[in-house]
Amino acid sequence: MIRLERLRKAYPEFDMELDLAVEAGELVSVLGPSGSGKTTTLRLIAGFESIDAGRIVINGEDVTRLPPAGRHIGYVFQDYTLFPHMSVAQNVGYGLRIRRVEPARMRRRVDELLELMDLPGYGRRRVDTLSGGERQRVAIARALAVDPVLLLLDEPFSSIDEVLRRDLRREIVRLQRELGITVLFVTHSRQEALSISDRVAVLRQGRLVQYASPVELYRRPADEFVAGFVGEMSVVPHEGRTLILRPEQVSLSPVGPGAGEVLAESSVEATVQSRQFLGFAWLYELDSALGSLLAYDSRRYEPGAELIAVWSAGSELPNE
Amino acid sequence: MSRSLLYAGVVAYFALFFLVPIGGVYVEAMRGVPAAAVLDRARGVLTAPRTMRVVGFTTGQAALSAAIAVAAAMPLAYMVSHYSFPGKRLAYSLSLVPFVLPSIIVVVCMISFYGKSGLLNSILGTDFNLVYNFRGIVLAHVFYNFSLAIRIISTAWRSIDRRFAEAAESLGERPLGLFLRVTLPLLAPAIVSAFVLIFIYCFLSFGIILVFGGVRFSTLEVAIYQETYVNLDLIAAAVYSTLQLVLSVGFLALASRAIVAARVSRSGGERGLPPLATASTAGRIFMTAYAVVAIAFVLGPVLTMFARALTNANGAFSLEGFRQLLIPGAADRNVEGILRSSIPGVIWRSVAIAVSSGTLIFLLAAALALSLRGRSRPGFESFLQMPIAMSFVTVSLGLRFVWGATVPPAVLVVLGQFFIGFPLVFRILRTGVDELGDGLVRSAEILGASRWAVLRDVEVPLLRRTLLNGYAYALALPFADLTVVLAAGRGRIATFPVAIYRLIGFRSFDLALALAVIYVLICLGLFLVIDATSMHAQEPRRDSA
Repeated sequence: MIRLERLRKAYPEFDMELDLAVEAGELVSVLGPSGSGKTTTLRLIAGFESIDAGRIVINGEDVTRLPPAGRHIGYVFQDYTLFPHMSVAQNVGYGLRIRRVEPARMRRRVDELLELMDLPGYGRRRVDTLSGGERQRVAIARALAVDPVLLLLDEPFSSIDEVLRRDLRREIVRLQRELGITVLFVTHSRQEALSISDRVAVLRQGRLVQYASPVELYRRPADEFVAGFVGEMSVVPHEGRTLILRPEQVSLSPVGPGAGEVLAESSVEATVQSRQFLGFAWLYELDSALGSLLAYDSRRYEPGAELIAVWSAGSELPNE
Repeated sequence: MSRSLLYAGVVAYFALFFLVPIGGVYVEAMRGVPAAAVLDRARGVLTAPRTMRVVGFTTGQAALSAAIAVAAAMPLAYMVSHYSFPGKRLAYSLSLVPFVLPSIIVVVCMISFYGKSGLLNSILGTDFNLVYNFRGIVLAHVFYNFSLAIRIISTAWRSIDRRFAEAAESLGERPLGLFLRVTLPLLAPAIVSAFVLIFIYCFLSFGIILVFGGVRFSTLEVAIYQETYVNLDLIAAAVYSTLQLVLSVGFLALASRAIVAARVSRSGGERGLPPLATASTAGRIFMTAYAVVAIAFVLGPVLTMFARALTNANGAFSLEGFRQLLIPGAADRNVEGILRSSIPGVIWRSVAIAVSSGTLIFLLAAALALSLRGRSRPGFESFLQMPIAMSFVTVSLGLRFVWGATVPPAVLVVLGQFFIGFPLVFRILRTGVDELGDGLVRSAEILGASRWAVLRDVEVPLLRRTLLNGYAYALALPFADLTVVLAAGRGRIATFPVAIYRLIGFRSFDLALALAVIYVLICLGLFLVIDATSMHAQEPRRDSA
């Protein structure tokens, strides 16, 4: 549905080189540390910046040479970028006004969108009287008004507080399911990416490192960078290979009578170095013969306690 | 507490040398005249046809000048805010030249370029006259304020977030719609500010009208001067100055409403601008041609003034004017008689008065700006900005009435010139101090630094450019002043602007040219300091990004 083919763009910090395909109706997150080229990817797709080589194809149409206005894309900026001199309704209806939609139809459509975004009756409000979450929803409504084939969201929740962010995340998923629209979503938050996406594209230094479903990304990371970026982990040598262990895959038990029987292949003696209370459990950092280990456990151990660490599964890193 | 002492001192200064003198004009006007007669006379002045004419002219020429200056500045503001091109910094700096010139030098420039025997007529072989009439007045005002409009509008244009345009484009917007529906509304506050500022400058214009207006045109400011010194009608002067105050405060109030209503939050990144070569061919040709005409418009008159000062009637190189001015006994007329002073006297007096006024302005403005850091005192600050809307002829006149018997004229001039420079210098310093913020000062205080140590170790080093910039303006504005020196100096004080004014009046344009050039050369050094510091002050500091 949307294909980036051998996209190239040179920047002072790095060279962008990207192949990416998103299916119709998919919600794809672009995840990566700051400066990895996430926002740049969106800006290239939207046409705000031109590419050096490659093709951008949307719904079978090559849009590489088209200006932003010709690409039928909705774009939501990181800090909303609502027009400060227009009311909420004028902002939402802006794209329709450009398309000379007749006023009565435009009003109906704007009301409909405000209803959809859970902002009924907000039309006459001034933009600067809105809260961050409200602005964000207006910005999304403005982008949706022109029925874009693709919605690009650039870190849309980065300036919104934690609780509201969760609601808005759900909102995006609901919208995307309801409207069946294709969404490309930039974030630097792994929780955000893992929780709402159909697939996640992990970028690093302008390159695609892994493109997979959240579960696969978490369980079968392509390399140590991806593994570390999408969750807590320890790296353990095992039979000549490298294992990635998530903290929940490691369980702890005290050393005592009968402990020797537990000492199987996938276990090691470990000493508690430090701990963090996370609410649902403690996160322990342990020292062992295999190196440093991370584990969750709901029981409380003191630093210095000697324990047995046992792991159940673990994912193997491909040897490079 | 020392802060309240400072505030009280400033209020006392304003009261003694600003408010009391203004009141003094009314008292003096009514002295020895029965109240009924005063009212009768005042009513007579208010309803006189001349009053309507003066008010109409003052407002009309100001509106027209401001509108033309703003409209003419738009293409250049766009060019400056969107593209980089070779020589941009130099052009941007040079564009400020007219704005820092005293009105009387602007007069000399306009006569050299647009006058009957000016350069333009001799190039075109025509015989039009663009000075000493309405067109000449508007032209001079546009010349004077054009670069101010470019600066205000281009700064705002550059600060408009580029993503507003991107958001509009992604929704299908085309260039014309983008300009009309997005850019223009976002730019409106800056356009209104530029218009109002230029309107007020032209509304209060004195020197240009004094020379070009003749008997047909006078602004209220010139009418006040004429009533006082020519017609000796103090009641008429008081009526005019009341009218002027009411109108200018009214305009300022209206405008500040409009500006506040239109104010928007625009967070624009200061990014590197693309070179002009990336613009479309048509755009590039239009902008380049427009810029060339604008540079000729701004620099033509100034350069012509220089050229004419250095040539004789036949167009050959000649330093005759300078010789007659500077070499004692070389003049073919009584220069000292015309100026009522010697040339060295003019020079040292101008410098001494400017340095005294400038230092007074700077010290008070700096002390206030530092002590007001992080505080909001809107009432007090409006009070401090009051002189902007006031007639300097009236204030100077009042200073003479109230303090003339006890204070020597040169000191009166310094006391009065304070109000010319203070509002602007205070605003420059206040902005700079507030941008520095509170954190660094508080950190130093917590580490045990005394007030003086904070000033010495934190504020002065970090605010060096702002302070320098402020001091340069504090010196430049009194140096260029004609009004206060003429009106408060009782004709006894001759500074550069007064001397040039007298030379023009006595048909010694050749000597006026030479003296104007000497003045401009002295200013040039000062101007370079102002511009170098103000350009740098606008650049974002890397460490604060």
